[in-house]
Amino acid sequence: MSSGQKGVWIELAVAIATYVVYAIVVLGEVGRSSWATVPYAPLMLWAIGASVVATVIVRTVVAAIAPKDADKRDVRDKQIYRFGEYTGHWVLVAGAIAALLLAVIKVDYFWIANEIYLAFFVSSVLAAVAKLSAYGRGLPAW
Amino acid sequence: MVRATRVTNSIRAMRAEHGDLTQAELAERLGVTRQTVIAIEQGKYSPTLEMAFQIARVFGVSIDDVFNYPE
Repeated sequence: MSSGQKGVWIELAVAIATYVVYAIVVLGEVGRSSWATVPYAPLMLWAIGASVVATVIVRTVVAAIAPKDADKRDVRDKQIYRFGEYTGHWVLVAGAIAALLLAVIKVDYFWIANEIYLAFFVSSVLAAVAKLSAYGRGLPAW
Repeated sequence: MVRATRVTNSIRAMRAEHGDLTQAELAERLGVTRQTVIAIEQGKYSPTLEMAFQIARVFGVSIDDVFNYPE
């Protein structure tokens, strides 16, 4: 497995783990009180920060375990990266449009922020799945 | 429309003809990962034109001798 492919697996695992933990904590808080009083902002910022830090730490550990392959990325890795980001991009656009509509109809910040975070999460998962598919089955020709 | 590549190649045979050049050795000479050489050999990845020239140069042949595109 190339270092580029390992990186995608790490990003996917960390993204899912942090979002699932965030969702469980927020839903637990909603169950105890009401969504209007849930302190979602610090939880969300912690989840995003933890995701970034965890990705860096795991990547560093993996690079230390296999230093020979670390940072070895070629043109195929770059093309697969672009393909994955392109695939996941439309979810971000759809999420932005949905957030815009929620703001227009004056929905609470809680829902707008969580809708945007969900869009980022789904986009990153979709991008990672597309990249892993390209690594395993081949990069599609257009 | 997404479709599979129609480009085929004879890299595996050429490696054998050139002193059993390993995938790792070819990758090293091309400056790419071994996984990329494997993907090219298996027809899962069409190399860039520049890489195709580099591969042909390693074997001392023209691109047409390494890569084929069906009519």
